[in-house]
Amino acid sequence: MAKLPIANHIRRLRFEHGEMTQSDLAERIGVTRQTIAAIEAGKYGPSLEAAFRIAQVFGVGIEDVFSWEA
Amino acid sequence: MSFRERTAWITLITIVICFGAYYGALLAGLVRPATWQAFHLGLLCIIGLVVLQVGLNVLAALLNPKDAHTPRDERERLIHARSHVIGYYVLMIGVAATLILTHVVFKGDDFGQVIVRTVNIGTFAMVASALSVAITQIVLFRRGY
Repeated sequence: MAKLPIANHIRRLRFEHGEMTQSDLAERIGVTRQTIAAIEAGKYGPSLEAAFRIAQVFGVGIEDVFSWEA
Repeated sequence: MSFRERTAWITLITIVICFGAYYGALLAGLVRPATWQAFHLGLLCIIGLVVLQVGLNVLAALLNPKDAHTPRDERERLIHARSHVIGYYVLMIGVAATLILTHVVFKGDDFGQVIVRTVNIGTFAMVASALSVAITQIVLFRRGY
């Protein structure tokens, strides 16, 4: 399966926010832990709403979480 | 493994066991089609499938009640939709195959045998469709999407 041309910094942001677990983040944005794992691994591109929710949890802009890689 | 992936595995395994037993017995010649023996075996397989699926899904829900009561998230909804599109195509091919094979009369076939064969092929089309849904879901869950 082709990797998405979107990079993300969720793993680093989780680490910087008290080593937040994937489960914690998943619960806060209303998805499963497996979905967070898939987003982090670049296997699944989240919806715009989920992307904004992730950025909101970390208190940063969406461009600080996701960037276009192509 | 997520609760939804677990239910997909339950569907796959129970269908393979129950309908594998039915079609395996028919193909191996252990029961002759269009007999009461075949009808009872088919009925037993369907009842077994329902009992196994309900029982295992209840067990899966009891082991992980939080996930079981959580609605599908966006990725799970996409996987659900994509798998059912594939299942729909498999079913359509099965329906077409059933229609064609119904009109193929083998030498010595009587009307009853044609009906039973049609029912068996039609049921197999539904089974193949359900299997393709479960397999697609498992692949997508394993792959990430």
